[in-house]
Amino acid sequence: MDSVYPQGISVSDFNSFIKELQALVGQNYVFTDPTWDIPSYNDQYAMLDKSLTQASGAVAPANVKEVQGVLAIATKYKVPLWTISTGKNFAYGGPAPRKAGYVVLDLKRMNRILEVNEKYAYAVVEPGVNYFDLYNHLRAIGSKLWIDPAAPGWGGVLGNLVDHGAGYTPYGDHLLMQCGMEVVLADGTVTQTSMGALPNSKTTHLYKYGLGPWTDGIFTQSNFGVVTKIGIWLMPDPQGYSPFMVTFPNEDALHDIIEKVRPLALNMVIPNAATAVEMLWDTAVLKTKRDYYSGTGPLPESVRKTICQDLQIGRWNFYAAVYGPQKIRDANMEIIRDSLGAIPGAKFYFKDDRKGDIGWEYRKNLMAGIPNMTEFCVMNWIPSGAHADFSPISPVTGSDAVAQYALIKDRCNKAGFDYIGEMLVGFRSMHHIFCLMFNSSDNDEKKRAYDLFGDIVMAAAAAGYGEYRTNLDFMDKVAGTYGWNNGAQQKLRQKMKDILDPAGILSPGKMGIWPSAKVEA
Amino acid sequence: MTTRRKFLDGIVGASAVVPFAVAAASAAAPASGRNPLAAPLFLWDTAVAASFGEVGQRIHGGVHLNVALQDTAWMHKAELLLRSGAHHSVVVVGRSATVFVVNQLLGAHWRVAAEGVHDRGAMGEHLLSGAAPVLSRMASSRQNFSDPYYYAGLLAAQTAFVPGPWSEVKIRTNAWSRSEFVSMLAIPRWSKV
Repeated sequence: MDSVYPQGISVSDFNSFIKELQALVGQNYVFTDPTWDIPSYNDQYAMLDKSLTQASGAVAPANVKEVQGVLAIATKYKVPLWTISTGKNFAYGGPAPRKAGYVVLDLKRMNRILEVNEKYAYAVVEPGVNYFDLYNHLRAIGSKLWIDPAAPGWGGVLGNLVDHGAGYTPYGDHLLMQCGMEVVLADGTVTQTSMGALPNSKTTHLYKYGLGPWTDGIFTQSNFGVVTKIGIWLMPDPQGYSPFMVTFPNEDALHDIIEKVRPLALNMVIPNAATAVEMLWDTAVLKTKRDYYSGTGPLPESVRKTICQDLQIGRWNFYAAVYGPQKIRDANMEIIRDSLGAIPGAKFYFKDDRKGDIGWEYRKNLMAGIPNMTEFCVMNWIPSGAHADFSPISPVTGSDAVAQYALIKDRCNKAGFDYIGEMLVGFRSMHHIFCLMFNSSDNDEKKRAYDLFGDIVMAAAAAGYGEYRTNLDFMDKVAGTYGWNNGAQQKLRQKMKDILDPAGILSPGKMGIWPSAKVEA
Repeated sequence: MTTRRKFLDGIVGASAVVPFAVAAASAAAPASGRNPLAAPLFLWDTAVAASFGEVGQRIHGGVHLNVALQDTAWMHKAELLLRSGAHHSVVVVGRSATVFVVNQLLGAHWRVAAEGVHDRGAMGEHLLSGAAPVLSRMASSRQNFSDPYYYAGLLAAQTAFVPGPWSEVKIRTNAWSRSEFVSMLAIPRWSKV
């Protein structure tokens, strides 16, 4: 790899910029070597050439004061930064910046768990804390509190939350469980949000909204500031937990599953992310494609049937759990059995069933807040497996689920890819996660994946489905689909960007938000 | 260890807030008679074979960890070993996702000197890419490609080379299995070459 530089910045100015960073944070925490340092910040699952998002450097401050210093130096030289916490969100671009030449603002060193409050059930963490760290810390101090990890568990607690990530316990809507935030603005101002703005506040991490507009949200999936601390509510030990899996042998069961689950989720009979998983996702955790099929293109229908029989899974497999004392769980399970059990072919499995099935094991762990890495096995499905996740939101109806499934699966198969996906039902909406898997060493396949992704974005938007987050390469395109009233929302965001970050140094292009001086054509 | 090395190892966070439950000493001990300070570190995906264990130890010595993504206890051990400064090379053989995870744990303290894809198309084809001198030496020992244990040892031996452009080489032997595996050799960034 050759060195790249920020657009419009001379090599001389860049070198001066780097020297000032080194003087601030120390030489050990400024990275510019294109051979040995910078590849750590590449998009490992890039569909396009990695050089398009290659960083020019990276800087890792240790504390808020150093963050303030980095922002001041970047403003002075007008060097664009790209903020990351742990950088493990590989399906969406990992640690790589939106454009080549940005300097990665790596917050990995800010890794303290600042507080665990057992009485009120929350923790306060810095950006470098991952789910394994928090889980292990809670166990080490004897806490009874649960966390809600992403899958896989090496993701950052803060990074996942500000990217609107989700988990699998009743606390799975991570942003909903956020309370209290510290932000460094581009001009170096440090602000506490909501109740934290009250000096000596006793409720910074207990009440989300404070007085006036709720500002926390504008610092998520955005580039208006650098979030350096968050409070996160943790789930008290529910005094009991009963996970279950239901297999459905028929592909067309999807409609009925979602129709049955909607009232169960709305009424919180199922309080966690109720997840309907297409058989190939479950298969890929356990097997490789070559174990069943040596041809090219999508897996034939006949092979899918063989796999379902072999692995004792359904065409759709539903995962959820009930929580609480035994009597409550028994009562809720009775309702669930009556409902889902009425779908033809439904077969229930419980906690102690399916011994040795690592797919069931990791789902059980996720729903109990135990971080793990098992889901990463999905990447073994094809050689040099890489993926980009397409994740539209839909109403919780059977017809919407079927429509989305058909929309994506048809295009996917025509482009030569397998449909690997799952639908997660929340209180009022459903996340559809389509894992577009491609061979990262096959340039033709990467190009087809890129084209397919763009096609699906537009087709889904035309059908009324927008993505809740997206891959680095598609941030502008997806943001462009939210174009009601001539793009009024995005124009509002751009105004906010220009006011809060007039030099345009903070993550330009994040989710399609550019400073006006750098608006993409 | 310098702070730079600690950071690039990617272990600053975990070690700062959470004491690792598993000490490095619990990793498999090196074969008797070998100097652990000059030992390779083998990370062996149990999907290749159930354990590096006796066979690998007998052939190569060194320190090994059996790894599998469904049991993450090894990750903490691996992080400790990777930052211990006690290994002249890291060799990983396994499924692609496992090797990817290990690669992400390495950090920039370790330089990846060679990568391999094995049993492409179940035909016993090995596609190697890496520093040209490494590949040249390995290609001359093609008999070691017929078995993953011997291949791992061959990789571990490639610790001295002059950095240069990467190249590729294909070697065909018997197939290891019906599955495709990948491999990776990493050496310390600050190695004298």
